[in-house]
Amino acid sequence: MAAPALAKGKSSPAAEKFLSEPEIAKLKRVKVDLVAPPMVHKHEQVASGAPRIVEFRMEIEEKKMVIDDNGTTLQAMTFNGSMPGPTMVVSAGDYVELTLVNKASNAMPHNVDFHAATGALGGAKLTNVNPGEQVTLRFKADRPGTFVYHCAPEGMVPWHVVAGMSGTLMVLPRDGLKDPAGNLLRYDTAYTIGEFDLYIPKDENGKYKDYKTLAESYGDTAEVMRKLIPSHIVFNGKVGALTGEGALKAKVGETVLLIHSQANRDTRPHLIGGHGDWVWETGKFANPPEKDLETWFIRGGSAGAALYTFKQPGVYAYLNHNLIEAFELGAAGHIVVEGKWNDDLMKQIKAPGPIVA
Amino acid sequence: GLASVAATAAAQTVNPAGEKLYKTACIACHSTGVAKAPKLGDKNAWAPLIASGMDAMMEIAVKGKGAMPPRGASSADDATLQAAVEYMVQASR
Ligand SMILES: [Cu+2]
Repeated sequence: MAAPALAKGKSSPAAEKFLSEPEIAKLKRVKVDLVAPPMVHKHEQVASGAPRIVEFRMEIEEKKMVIDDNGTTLQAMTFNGSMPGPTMVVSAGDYVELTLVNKASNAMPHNVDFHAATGALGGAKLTNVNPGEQVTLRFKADRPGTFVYHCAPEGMVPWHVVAGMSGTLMVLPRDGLKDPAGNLLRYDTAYTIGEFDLYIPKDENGKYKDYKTLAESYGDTAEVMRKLIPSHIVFNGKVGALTGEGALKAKVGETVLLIHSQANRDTRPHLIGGHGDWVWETGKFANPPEKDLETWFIRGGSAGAALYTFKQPGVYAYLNHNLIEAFELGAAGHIVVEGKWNDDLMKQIKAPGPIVA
Repeated sequence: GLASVAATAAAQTVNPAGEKLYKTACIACHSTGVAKAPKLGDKNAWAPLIASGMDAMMEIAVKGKGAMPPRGASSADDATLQAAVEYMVQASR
């Protein structure tokens, strides 16, 4: 009888308070309209009031997407039509209430697994929806951090994930982000980047195959997946999605939060010409961030976050620093920064010219 | 000899397009039983379907049922679809 007594003595911490259904019903409700990546919907960095129920709605859309400049296509599966799905932001202690809609025009059943949530396979067990159905799930976002969410239908999880069904839920600490000394860290802009390893099959002539339907892409795609060598690795759905017109924008003096998710495969973000001023590479804000990182590391199946205040103008590259994955396979984007050049930080003393003795 | 004649006859009754379609598309759900799909080779799951007859199985294959999309979400014609159903039935008897 000693064991139960011991267990009783070690009861759960007093801080853990679970609300009853009537108590939850009294919480304030807010409805948030999601925006397409790389943008993140408007949100408070420091919570101004008590925990709330935050309502989101996402529609699942299966569609054929062009994923490179050669017209290669992916039979994609998406949350809200984008890769990644939209980033949702709440404060720790808030309740997320998601309505997930599987459009009647889709072919496959889907669901959603939130890494931030507790129980029922992240919500996947409670959100199975066939085409033409919708479902609503509520969970308490009780741990701060950036967390992946993704589709996870029993029996075909990896296919739905690598076909595009993932995104980030960011749960901010109620009192905001902190450096290791406890000072408040703020950002002016948040961008969200989803990195996707793609497995597009080739025909006998070495050309990428194009499929009439999503289901018909399955058999060949699964074979490529099993070899573990992606044909493409892209940010936000397409080679070059975050370059040219799609480049991220910032100004000298502006602090940017870069959220990076990879639901399936490791990556190593790096900002060429910049750094990670403060980085939570495992993405969980209750842990102190690391400072001055050149390259950080996002584990496959997680999302991380990096803060950077720009000090120089110009075009920066933000990429996966396996440079083959960046420049050959597609995992690279640009940040265009306006402002005044700082000669103290860097100066070209003599421009390139002929070698002199 | 007789054996090879018999083998040829047997091969002719099987439309290879059926297995091909199964391995291209149907396998996504029917290999592991996604969303209660009857698993390939699961005799108990298939017995009532087989008993219902080919017309009834084709009705489901063409129109869809529950999580099963029409034509299994493929662009296959009726003949290929029926060949895939026959392939699955043969593997699940
Ligand atoms: Cu899915």
